[in-house]
Amino acid sequence: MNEFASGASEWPSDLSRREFLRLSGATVALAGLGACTKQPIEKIVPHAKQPPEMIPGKPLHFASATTFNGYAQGILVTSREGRPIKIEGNPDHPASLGATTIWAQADLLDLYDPDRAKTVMHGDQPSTWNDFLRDVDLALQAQQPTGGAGIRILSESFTSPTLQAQLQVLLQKFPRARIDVWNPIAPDESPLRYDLSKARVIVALDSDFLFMHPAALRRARDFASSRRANENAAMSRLYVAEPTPTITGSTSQRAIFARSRRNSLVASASCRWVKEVSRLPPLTPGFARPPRICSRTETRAL
Amino acid sequence: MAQLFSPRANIYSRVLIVGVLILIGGAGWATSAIFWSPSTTYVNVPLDQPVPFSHKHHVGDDGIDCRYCHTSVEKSRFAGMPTSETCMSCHSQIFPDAPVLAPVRQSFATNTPLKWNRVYDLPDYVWFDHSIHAAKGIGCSTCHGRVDQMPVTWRTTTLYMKWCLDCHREPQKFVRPRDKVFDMAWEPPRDQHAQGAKLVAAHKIDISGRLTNCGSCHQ
Ligand code: HEC
Ligand code: HEC
Ligand code: HEC
Ligand code: HEC
Ligand code: HEC
Repeated sequence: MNEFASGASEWPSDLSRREFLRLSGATVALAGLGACTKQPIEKIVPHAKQPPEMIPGKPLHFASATTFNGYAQGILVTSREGRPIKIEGNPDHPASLGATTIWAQADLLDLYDPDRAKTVMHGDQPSTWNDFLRDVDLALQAQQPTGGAGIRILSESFTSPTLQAQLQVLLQKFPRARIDVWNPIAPDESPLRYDLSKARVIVALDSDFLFMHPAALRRARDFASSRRANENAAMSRLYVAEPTPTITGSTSQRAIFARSRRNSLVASASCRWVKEVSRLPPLTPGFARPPRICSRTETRAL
Repeated sequence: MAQLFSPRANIYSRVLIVGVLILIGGAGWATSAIFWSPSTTYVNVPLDQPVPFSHKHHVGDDGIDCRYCHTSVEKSRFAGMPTSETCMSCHSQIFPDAPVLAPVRQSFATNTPLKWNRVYDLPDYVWFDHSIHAAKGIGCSTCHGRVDQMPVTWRTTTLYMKWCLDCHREPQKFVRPRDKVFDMAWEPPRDQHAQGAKLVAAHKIDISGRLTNCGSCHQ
């Protein structure tokens, strides 16, 4: 997103220093003239029908959700005069616990992105929803005889039961239609909720569960609580095998770099480490001498 | 060496000095006249509105409470403006076909808001809040005048900084009992000075000087 006109940050080559000073002097002088005008008449535009939950002039706070990889994270939105201005985590939501990810924070920028579609477009012509629905209807009718053999729906992964139900209805009508779900970046993550606050030893294989994960906020909290030395008899330990450095890796006792296709190898070895590690005396902060979880030869083999 | 100035130069110089003084004074007077003139302050200048709404009829004659239309005046910075729905709550029965009300009916039917011309308008760098003034016993009529007698709404005060400060320095001159805030006919009693001081204490109005801090109004 670029808020300035293109080229605005470049110094124009045909503008000398003197010329620039002359122009900026004139600008300052003219800016002062602005004080000599009186206020123009402004408008007050009330609603035609008052939304009951709104008090004009007061910010409205409401709970909503943003998704990461298809999974919802609870957020609280502050909105002024119908325009959301701030997103915070929802303390009552299990996947947020009052925190937000950087992506949830950036959702606001997304909302006001000038490149965001403002109307329905047909090619490069503005169109209307009614026209769109009519065209879709025509296209779907043509698919009726074949049972929808020509229909493909592409989607990012999602967990919305409503959308799921709607797609089921569609599939009943067009049994031969196909729905393909694909996420270009984030890896497939198990929706299972592990309780990391109870884990003593955590082995993460190519899993950036403290950052790039739908439940990262919750896991970071749980993980942190298991690491508070004055509340826990023993701090938990985290071992990570990962192909690139991640937040999770840098938080761990030890991270080794391994191509992800070696994960099964690491996993089979990890059982041994876990047993080994759970027999070790509790770690004391500041005196941490983490065990080498792999021998040098093992590391090389990965 | 010849005389540089003839005796007449004395007269010229006096005329010049007096002339310049008059010019400066005149310029000052003209500036102040423009500054305080209704065309700059909009005081007593009725504005055109999309519907010729009359507070005189609705408040003065029919006795409708301010809060029926300006719903958020006790809760929010913004006093709130009646929605077209609010007008229609009566005008679907009273004058349902009156031509002057056509814009209201159209707004209600198409769900597009009416656009009123702002009568009281502070610059955007000033922070003002209705709820605190209503809660501390500053009545509508102190700032907006006898709205109930206005067939069209006009400004009764300049909204200049001096005007705000005159009250923020001495709120006891203007404060009234809380149940009189919406009373258009309230006049300061003869012993306002003593009454006001009592109310300032009763309403816990902050007279520590914080009200005249620049930061109160220029946040
Ligand atoms: C029936 C609805 C209604 C009631 C009751 C009502 N008003 Fe209004 N008021 C309006 C409408 C509509 C406007 C906008 C048109 C105008 O400026 O005249 C307005 C405008 C105003 C404005 C000018 C706002 C601006 O800056 O443009 C003030 C001040 C005001 N009202 C004060 C009051 C007070 C004080 C009362 C109670 C004594 C009151 N009103 C009762 C409907 C109402
Ligand atoms: C509580 C009922 C009520 C509400 C709400 C109300 N009105 Fe009225 N209005 C009346 C009555 C009663 C009259 C007749 C007044 C009279 O002639 O004394 C009237 C008359 C009028 C008239 C005719 C001209 C005049 O002043 O006599 C206009 C215009 C008008 N109203 C505009 C509005 C607008 C705009 C709103 C919404 C901001 C509104 N009214 C809300 C009750 C209401
Ligand atoms: C201390 C002075 C003061 C008092 C008391 C006061 N107002 Fe206002 N009012 C203002 C100012 C100043 C504005 C312009 C606000 C702006 O431009 O942001 C205003 C604006 C308004 C508006 C236009 C909408 C808005 O909020 O900008 C309405 C309606 C209004 N006042 C109604 C009332 C009513 C009803 C009361 C009685 C409870 C009241 N006012 C009491 C100073 C006052
Ligand atoms: C007629 C008296 C009066 C006038 C006029 C007046 N005020 Fe006030 N104002 C008060 C009183 C009384 C309080 C409440 C002080 C307290 O909190 O105890 C107050 C409080 C405030 C506050 C909240 C201050 C705070 O920090 O709590 C703001 C902001 C404010 N006024 C802005 C304005 C502005 C801007 C104007 C001019 C457009 C204005 N006022 C005109 C009497 C007035
Ligand atoms: C009670 C509220 C209040 C307080 C306190 C206040 N101001 Fe203001 N100020 C205003 C209002 C209202 C205006 C707008 C006046 C106008 O419309 O011309 C204003 C305007 C101004 C302006 C712009 C003048 C212009 O004509 O462009 C300056 C500068 C300013 N104030 C400085 C200050 C400073 C410095 C202080 C602290 C000593 C201060 N103000 C305290 C209400 C206040």
